[in-house]
Amino acid sequence: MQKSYEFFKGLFTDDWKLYVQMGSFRWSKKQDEAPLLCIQNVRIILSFYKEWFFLHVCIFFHVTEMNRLENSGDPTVHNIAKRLREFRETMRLREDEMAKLLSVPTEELLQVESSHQPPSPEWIAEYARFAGVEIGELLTGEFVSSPPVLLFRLLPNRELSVTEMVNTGMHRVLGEFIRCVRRIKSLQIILGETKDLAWLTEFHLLPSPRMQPSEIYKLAEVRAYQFREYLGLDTQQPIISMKQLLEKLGVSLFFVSPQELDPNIDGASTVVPAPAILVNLIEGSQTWWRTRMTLAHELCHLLFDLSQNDPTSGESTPMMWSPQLQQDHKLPERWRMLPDHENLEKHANAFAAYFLAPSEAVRSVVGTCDPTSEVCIRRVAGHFGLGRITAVNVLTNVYKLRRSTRYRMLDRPEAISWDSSIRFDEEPTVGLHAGLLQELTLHALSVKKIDKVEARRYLNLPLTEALPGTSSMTEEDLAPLVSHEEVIRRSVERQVQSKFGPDYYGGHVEPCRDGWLVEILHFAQQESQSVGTALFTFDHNVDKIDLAVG
Amino acid sequence: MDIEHHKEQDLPDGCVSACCRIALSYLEQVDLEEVSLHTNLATGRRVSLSTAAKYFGWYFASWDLTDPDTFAYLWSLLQKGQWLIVTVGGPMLAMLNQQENRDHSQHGQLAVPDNHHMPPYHAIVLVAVEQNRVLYLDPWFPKHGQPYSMHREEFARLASGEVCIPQTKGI
Repeated sequence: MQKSYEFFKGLFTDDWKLYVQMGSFRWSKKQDEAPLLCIQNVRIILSFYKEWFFLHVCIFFHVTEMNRLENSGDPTVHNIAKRLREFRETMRLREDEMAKLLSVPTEELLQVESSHQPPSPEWIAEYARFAGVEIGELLTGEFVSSPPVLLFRLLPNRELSVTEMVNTGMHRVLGEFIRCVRRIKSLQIILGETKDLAWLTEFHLLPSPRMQPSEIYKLAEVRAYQFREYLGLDTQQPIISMKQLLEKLGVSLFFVSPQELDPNIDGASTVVPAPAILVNLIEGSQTWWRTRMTLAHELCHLLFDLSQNDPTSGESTPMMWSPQLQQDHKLPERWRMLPDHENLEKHANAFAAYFLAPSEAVRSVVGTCDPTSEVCIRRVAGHFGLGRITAVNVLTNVYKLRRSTRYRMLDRPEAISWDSSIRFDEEPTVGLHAGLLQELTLHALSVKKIDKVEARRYLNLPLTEALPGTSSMTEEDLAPLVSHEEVIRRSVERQVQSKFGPDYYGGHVEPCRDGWLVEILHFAQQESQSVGTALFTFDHNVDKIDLAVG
Repeated sequence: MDIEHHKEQDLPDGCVSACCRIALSYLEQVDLEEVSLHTNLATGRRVSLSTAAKYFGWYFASWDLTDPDTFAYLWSLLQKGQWLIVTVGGPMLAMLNQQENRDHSQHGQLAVPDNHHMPPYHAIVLVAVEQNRVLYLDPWFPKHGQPYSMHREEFARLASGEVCIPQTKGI
């Protein structure tokens, strides 16, 4: 025995090691199911040191996830399934909730998440829009700190909010809003036009602990006064354009119609990835006084309620929506996104009113006039660029009027014919991809910082669409990259090939009374021959395929 | 860029088979014969990308690459290192003949506008992206000078929308 050992040991030097590597072992609950445990390698190491030999057994194993990727083939495609599941889990959503939000069957979602079915590009686009990130960011898992994701984690009554979002599709608009903010920021970096946002950090106060209802209005007045002072605005003077003031501060503004965003939501704001405000033009863009109030209201959220910090540690969030308060000044439970949300909304409303019409200035405008009179209401509204209801509210607060007096002022018949002859803010450009985003995109394209494909991605335009024109660009720059005829030809071709085989192609495309008539070519014997036609309808369906052969 | 996996197509209609060979070489380090592959897969004269994808158990779909999100998805996959087989065609296909650094193909010109003697689509393997250019292996041409590259805008005009994602699964 000793001899054998000596002989065996003699084969090695002191630091020799003998490796025996064994294959992999997998264990799963059912056949064809992703393994729960996978032992990738068993390595037995025999090492010698002087008179001793050691036996090491190293087991390298992966838990389910790693193994699934390793087991199922190319990691890139399977990483996508992993990312999509991670995304749902980060938002603390159940599979059925996520399926409802994406308008897809739950079963299909499970198939995609478990790598059994590759997600279609449309799916990926839906996920990215929901997360408020670009597709590339979704695939690399950069959604974790995206505002919509963080916001979902905070919802106190998630189930109710999810139902509401499924009904209104609000999550899509908010996600796209954040994506557009990202695009503006990225274009500003590309063009070297980054904004100085020092005001946000200099003036930004840590979100106050829960406000007492009695403190809300006083606090709002003080803060509105302080911020006016910080900006160097004369407290006696009206703000002629809220839009210009915010744009000067580097806040990106977006305006949407109530057809896009639920009319119960007045607006939304975010500080991540950059400060931005979304305004829902509930009564149309002609009610500019309402738009001014919403802008000032959202400015308050930017200043005091939103935080770039990790929200999981507290109650702050990088993004907020502003629902309309009900008649009794209560916040509908389904729209509550923070425990103190109702007070924050009341505070922002008061801030907006005081910011646009400071108390002292209101007193000097009113002068000796009866503050409850219609003349006075019109004078205040006209001077500060307010709506009638806001003007009444401002007078009520400044002159400490009773609630009954306020109702009497609001209920006057003049309220019906209310219109302001002087316009303060200019007409906004409606659409998430319009306004500043469009301006920057076209500028970046004209100076060749981005190409035509990228320009269309920024503006969410198909490659078959022309870019919106500007004087500095040629027709060729703006022309579609792919013609409609080409798209029609390819659509018809796909259907014909799936029916008759790969040697059939689309040829000449010609408009007709019911859509487009597409020539079908057959490629055989080194030659293409015209063999029939197919009708592509205005509904984008292939209706009649008329082939001489096949 | 490792171009060792490039295979030049033996048959004038063998682009899909040759692209499959390139993908198999990259994924599995195996080399199949193009002629036998072509014979197995051809329906009619040509091998369609969908048939080849089905045969190997790879993902295949017709994507609407005129949609900006779909195009961005394809671009992101390439950025993440995924190789893709796609078909390109249309009137601009002839442009590929004129690019620099390419040898003459044994099969002649890739495509000539209005020439009905050539199949209108051609399969290539997209292997990476560099800024706004896509790098690809083209089996019509010899290995020298590959991978070729084309600008994102050119690719957007040429891509038919057929996309195959080769994976090790199913081999």
